Amino acid sequence: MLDYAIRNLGRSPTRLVLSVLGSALVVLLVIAAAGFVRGMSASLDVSGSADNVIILAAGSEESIERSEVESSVPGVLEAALPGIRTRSGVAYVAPQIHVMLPARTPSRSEPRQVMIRGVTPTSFLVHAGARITDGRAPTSGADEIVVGRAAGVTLGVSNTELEPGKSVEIDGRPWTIVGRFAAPGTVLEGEIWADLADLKSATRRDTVSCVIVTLEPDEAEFADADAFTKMRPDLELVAMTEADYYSALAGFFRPIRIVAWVTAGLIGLGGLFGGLNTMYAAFASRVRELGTLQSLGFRRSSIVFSLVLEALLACSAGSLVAAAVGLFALDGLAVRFSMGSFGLLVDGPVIGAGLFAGLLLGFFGSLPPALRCLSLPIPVALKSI
Amino acid sequence: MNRSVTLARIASYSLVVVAGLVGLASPQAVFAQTSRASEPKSKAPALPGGVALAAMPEEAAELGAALATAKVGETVTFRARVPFAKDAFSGDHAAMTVLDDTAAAACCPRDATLMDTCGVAGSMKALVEVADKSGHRLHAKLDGRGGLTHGTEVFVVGTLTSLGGDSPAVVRATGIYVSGPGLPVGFFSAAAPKDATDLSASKAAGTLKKGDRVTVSGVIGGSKDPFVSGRALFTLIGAALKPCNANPDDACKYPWDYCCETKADILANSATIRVSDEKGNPLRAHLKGRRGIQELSPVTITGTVASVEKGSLVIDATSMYVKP
Repeated sequence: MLDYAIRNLGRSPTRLVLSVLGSALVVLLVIAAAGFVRGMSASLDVSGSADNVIILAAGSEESIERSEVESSVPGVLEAALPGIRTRSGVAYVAPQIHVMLPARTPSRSEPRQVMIRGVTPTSFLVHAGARITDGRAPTSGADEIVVGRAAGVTLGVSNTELEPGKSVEIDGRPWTIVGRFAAPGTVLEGEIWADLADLKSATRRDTVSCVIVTLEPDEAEFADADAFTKMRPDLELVAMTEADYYSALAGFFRPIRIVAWVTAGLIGLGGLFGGLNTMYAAFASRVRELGTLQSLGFRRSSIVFSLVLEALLACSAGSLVAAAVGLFALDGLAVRFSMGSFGLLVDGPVIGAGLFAGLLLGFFGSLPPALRCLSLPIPVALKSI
Repeated sequence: MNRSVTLARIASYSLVVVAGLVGLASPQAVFAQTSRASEPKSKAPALPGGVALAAMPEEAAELGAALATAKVGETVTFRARVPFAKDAFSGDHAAMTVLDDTAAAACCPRDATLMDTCGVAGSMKALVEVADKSGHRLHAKLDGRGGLTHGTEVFVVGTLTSLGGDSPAVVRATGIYVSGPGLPVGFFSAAAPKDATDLSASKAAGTLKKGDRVTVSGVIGGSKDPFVSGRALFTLIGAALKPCNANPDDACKYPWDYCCETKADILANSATIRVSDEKGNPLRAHLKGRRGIQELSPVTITGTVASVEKGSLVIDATSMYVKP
């Protein structure tokens, strides 16, 4: 029956191509939706380190940009919280400002909201995955910035406009790009980092948004940081792990992920019904042939199996085409969102989901028409036109 | 032609089978979130019989109180302590003797010296055993497993199999939670201290300084999470502030966070209570749930002022009375 199925596929090349392309489109959409969801989840998940604790103002847990922490807190933390990681005498304590500001390059007239992070050199310690790939870190007093590798997507410009030496206008003030950094798989790549003191001056504040500390796993736990905030209620602080912070943010984007899946599902259903329609027409034109096969002694179950197999083969081929397009064209494609940007993640499970969708399409798109065509009595089938 | 059909046949079967297998395995992975390991790294071997509990059981009574009201065959949940006695652990069998905390002082010397045996009355003692399905004790030591050793504080859930007389009660454990060194022996007072003052009044007097011995009363609260999970520390609020649910019109989701009060008022009427080790670090022990304490529980703390800094008062507690 497999021979029969394969030979039948070649009987109408046009129909075969259309079936393959149709299923490829549906599967590609499923891959895109799954890649979107996985990419967003993965970037928010990877963005938070299990060893990092964010100390921020009480009441600002859901929006770090609203948090105001006294500038003396990093020093107090370093002195009072045991178990902070140190290397060569440098404690992993990073005060930071997080602020969304309008930014644009000279080629764009319309600015875009970008996450600007005011940092000190210790930020490159606590964010272990962040590395300067071009140029250098910004120095104090010079209005210098480093841009993430995906900041171009956030700003809507090409990466050539964000090379070291170029300028970006942030909140009406020109800043000079002195370097680029990479933080693979995290939302940090869509951000712009400036010197903490310069950003304080530019935003007219004398507080920071948060202090991020890295704890040595064998010496301290999150509970120690939590205990510190409770022992100093005068500072009005609260502690949360970086992982929990990004998990909470991921929760905000859950409706978007649901919409992505619902959209993919609806179009998948549309593809399924379209396939059903096509298969009904295709099998209806072969009723006499199918009747002949039955009269020759082939069982209905075998014929159904062969018809379903035809559809599965066509859809599987379409799924492979879609998987190739997804892997080479969609994987890593940057998507901008409010926190910066993330890349679509087309990996094994995503490809698998697409292939599975293709198989479902082939199976459920062909079974009802096959059963319908074979429900006719043999004499009626043989007489059909 | 036959060769090409054969090749097409092989390719087709492979295509469908591989796509199906990968696809069947994928949906869970697509929806899966990266999980972070949150279990603490334990270097000690685990308790035998799978009885180790991941969390402290709620509503655990003190051993003496649990045995006073339980009948043979009932499930009991209690807190107890392993004495510093050489016979606390039974040789090669999974069994150990545990004491009620009020009696533990007799068998838990500060210098951790092991005595030959612990001569505490049977009503304050229990033999906890870990058995197989047929009721036979497992051939496994408990000492050194799952954090168990002399002096550890344990929480036990099990079936009371024997009770009465001078012999210790026997409990067949279905769950054991090891709290580690736990709270100091006798930390919870049976009677209310007579010289307690309200925390708000103590702070308002403005005379507290580091090293002062104090006995203060209040309720647990001051933030959405007044307890610190895994640490013997919580925040206490004095009587001058009423919890938000005392206001009939208030609709606070967490009345113990006192969100209806200003931060300055909360600071002026609060203290951080901790049970610390010799280095001043909070003990690694849960407090929430002990003796039924939770948010807004009225308690009286006796201890020493550890620090007074910009209105933040920290008291190192040496004993605690929980108002029933």
